[in-house]
Amino acid sequence: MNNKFYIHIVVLMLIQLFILNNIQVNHYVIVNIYILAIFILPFNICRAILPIIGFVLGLIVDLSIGTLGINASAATFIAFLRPQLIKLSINQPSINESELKRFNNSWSFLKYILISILIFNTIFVFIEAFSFENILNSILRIILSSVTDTILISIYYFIALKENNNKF
Amino acid sequence: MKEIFNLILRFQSTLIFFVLEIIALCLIVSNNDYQNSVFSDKTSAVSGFLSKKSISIINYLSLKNENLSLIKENIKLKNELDNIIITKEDTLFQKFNSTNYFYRTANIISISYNRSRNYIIIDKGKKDGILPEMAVVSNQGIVGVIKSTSNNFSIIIPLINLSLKISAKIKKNDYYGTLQWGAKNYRYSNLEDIPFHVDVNKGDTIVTSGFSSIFPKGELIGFVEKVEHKTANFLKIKVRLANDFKKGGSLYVIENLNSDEINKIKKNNEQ
Repeated sequence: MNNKFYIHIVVLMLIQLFILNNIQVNHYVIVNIYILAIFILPFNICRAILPIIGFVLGLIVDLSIGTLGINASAATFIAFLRPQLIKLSINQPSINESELKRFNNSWSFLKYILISILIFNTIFVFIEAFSFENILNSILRIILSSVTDTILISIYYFIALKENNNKF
Repeated sequence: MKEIFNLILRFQSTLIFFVLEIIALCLIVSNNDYQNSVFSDKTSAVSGFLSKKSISIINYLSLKNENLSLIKENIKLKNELDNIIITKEDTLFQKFNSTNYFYRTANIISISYNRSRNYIIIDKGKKDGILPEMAVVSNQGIVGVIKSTSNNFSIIIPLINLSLKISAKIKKNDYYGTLQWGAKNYRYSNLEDIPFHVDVNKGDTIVTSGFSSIFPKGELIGFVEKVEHKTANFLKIKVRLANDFKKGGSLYVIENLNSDEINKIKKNNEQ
């Protein structure tokens, strides 16, 4: 997956822009699959570029749905936290090659995705609400969106990436 | 320098992250109506609070100046008040048409009314700025003209003096004549030189004509008591004087502030 991550970024962005942005499930569910593009970035990527990638991807999605800055800020945040979240999810202070291979196939990757999606949706929902009033409503939106995102991202991951990864 | 550069390199991702987040927040606030309204609501509340506080602090700090200016104003107003009281007791300043007249009060010291040439003496003189040929009125009507002054006293020729002639007119139709006392009764005087065709009735008002520089125009002299055809061409009108000379009270000496100018013109004309 490391070699073809840019193809998957393009595909994920196209799915997001042309399919998911046009689907209005309901008020509580916001579907964002493009953040998987941030999760599948190579591990050895420069840390300084990570927030920039997140910002650009979020901004493109924002431009297509007219919520300038909301997706960008949330995506920048999870992209910036990516190295720390990976370390947290595999319980290791440093990551070596063998562990990374195991990470790609293991339960800890799902854990990383889950935490990231939760953070992303938390930021997304609170910036969209822009206040802490109606906090129960906001939490419900976070949970439902996170569940939906996790399911969709897992489906995409297991269809398009997992097999590929096994071959690799 | 190198250490600073290293520090920046070490935290470059954090730095970039914060810059991008700030950009994103700016975009959110400037481009999304709802977030913009909430943000401006909050910021305006904060700025309103701050400006309110700062204004109250500034006001408090400027209390000293405020006090000083209030004290100044107070003193000014007090002075003006004193002036007003003095003016009321002593003098009155009035604007009369386009001519300025300055009023001074005076009290009668002695008065005679049973001679043919009566005089009144008042308790104001040169010291108080009283000069000959000033007009004297009471609150009832005109009294007379200052004849001569000493330092502290002045002599008035009242209307009830044979030697005083005043230009007077009938108020309702502006015909003017000469008022001269008849030396009979201190309550009555005579208005002469009014043409016989003039319509005069009992009770008509006689006022000063204002042709001399002494009396202001329109000061009350008296009321028509009786109209007689003395000669073929002129009427003789008996006038009941408005001012009762047996009645005491303070008098007002009127200074015509323009009399110097008027006299100058008259002199020039004579030359």
